[in-house]
Amino acid sequence: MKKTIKPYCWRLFVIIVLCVMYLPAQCQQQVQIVTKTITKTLSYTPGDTLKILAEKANVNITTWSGNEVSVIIRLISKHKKKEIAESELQYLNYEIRSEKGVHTLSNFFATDGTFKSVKGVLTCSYELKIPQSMAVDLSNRYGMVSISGLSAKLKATIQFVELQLTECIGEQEIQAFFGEVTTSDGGGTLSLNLQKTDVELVDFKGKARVKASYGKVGVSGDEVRSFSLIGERTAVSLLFSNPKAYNYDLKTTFSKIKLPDMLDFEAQSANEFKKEFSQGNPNIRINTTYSPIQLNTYYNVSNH
Amino acid sequence: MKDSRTELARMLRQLDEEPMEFSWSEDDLWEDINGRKTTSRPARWYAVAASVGLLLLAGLFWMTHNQESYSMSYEVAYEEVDGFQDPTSELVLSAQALIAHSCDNQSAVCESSEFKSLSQELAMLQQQINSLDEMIKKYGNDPVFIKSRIQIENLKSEITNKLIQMVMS
Repeated sequence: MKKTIKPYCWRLFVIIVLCVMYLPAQCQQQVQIVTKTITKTLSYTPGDTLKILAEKANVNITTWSGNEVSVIIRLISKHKKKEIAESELQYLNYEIRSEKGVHTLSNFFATDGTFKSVKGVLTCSYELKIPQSMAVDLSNRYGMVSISGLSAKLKATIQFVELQLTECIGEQEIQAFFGEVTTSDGGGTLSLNLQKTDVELVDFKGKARVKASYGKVGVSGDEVRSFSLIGERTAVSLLFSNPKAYNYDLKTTFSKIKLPDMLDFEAQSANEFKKEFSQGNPNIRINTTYSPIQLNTYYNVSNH
Repeated sequence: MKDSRTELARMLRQLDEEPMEFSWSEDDLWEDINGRKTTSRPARWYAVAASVGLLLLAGLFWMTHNQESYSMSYEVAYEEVDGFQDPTSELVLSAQALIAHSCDNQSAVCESSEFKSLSQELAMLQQQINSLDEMIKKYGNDPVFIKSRIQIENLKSEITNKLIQMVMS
């Protein structure tokens, strides 16, 4: 009996394995990736600015104790055929220029007049290490930007970009059109001008001034120094472990304000809430339209 | 005072009269110079060679430090393929036709500032889709563009929905 079952089981096993192997192969495709990597070290004198003019790029900036700027730019071309990937890489161009204390890095698409469209996919990536106190002025369209540990001034103009700021504590001026902005453990003064952008300020410890239209803004943290927002069709959610640590002036038109039960306080009306819990409290001022304002609480172990 | 002056004058005179005495002879001196010549030549060349070497090293350091270097790399990867379709379906087109048709008949709602600003937004979103198509021609159909298109389309349908609610109410 055993002898007849064994080959049958074996055959079934092989069929199952083949099926499993075939499944992922169906939706995956082999791609040839050709990468041109450019490396350069730029000298830094205090007061220098790093300017980045990026397009369809992933920009990653970290800070270090070194007194130099380390630049790695990767120009990447992908296609099923190696020859096509290799030849389309020529459309991706870059420039590194230093002039009067401004170091400019840029990537751009360049071609002759006969060009119609690429067959593969082209991408650019920046891997930068800069001194903490170096000012950054960047722009990017489509892609990602992440910056961590910067204490100098940051100016960012982005379109369809996911921007992630970690522990940035300087003056930050961000202009975003479509996309997502997330800051964690951020401080300093933040000035946001947003259109169709979702923003999340996690554990925010600074002062923020926001102008927003069509989007969502979320703020959390127990050490917010001030927050003000003028919004158009922008929903706002606040998350504090102790909501009474702030003073409020909230208003939304054609929508509602939702307050937590533990506040033991009724809003003046469904769409307005003004309350000074203590004179020295930081101010939270919000004025938006057509979208709700939510104040939520959470239990913070370290506070109780 | 006078004594010491005459003493000094006497000593000076004596110094002039006395022949200079050298502790070396002329022959010794020549030998010394010749001998030094033979040893100093290579030493000088060593010095020149060393300074040239140092300059070269410094130059090399400067070159590697300030010069751009680039390299090429090749790899093969397996990536997900997404057959993305243009989401401008017949339903969306018919919704736009409905709004246009309603505005032909009842102009009151369509003249309101909210309706106008929403219509402007819708037109702007269409422009964004056009510029997105231009980017796809340059950089290929990358997931980052599909994500952006989804964002635009979501907002477009949200606004279209609001416009329909306005004309239907």
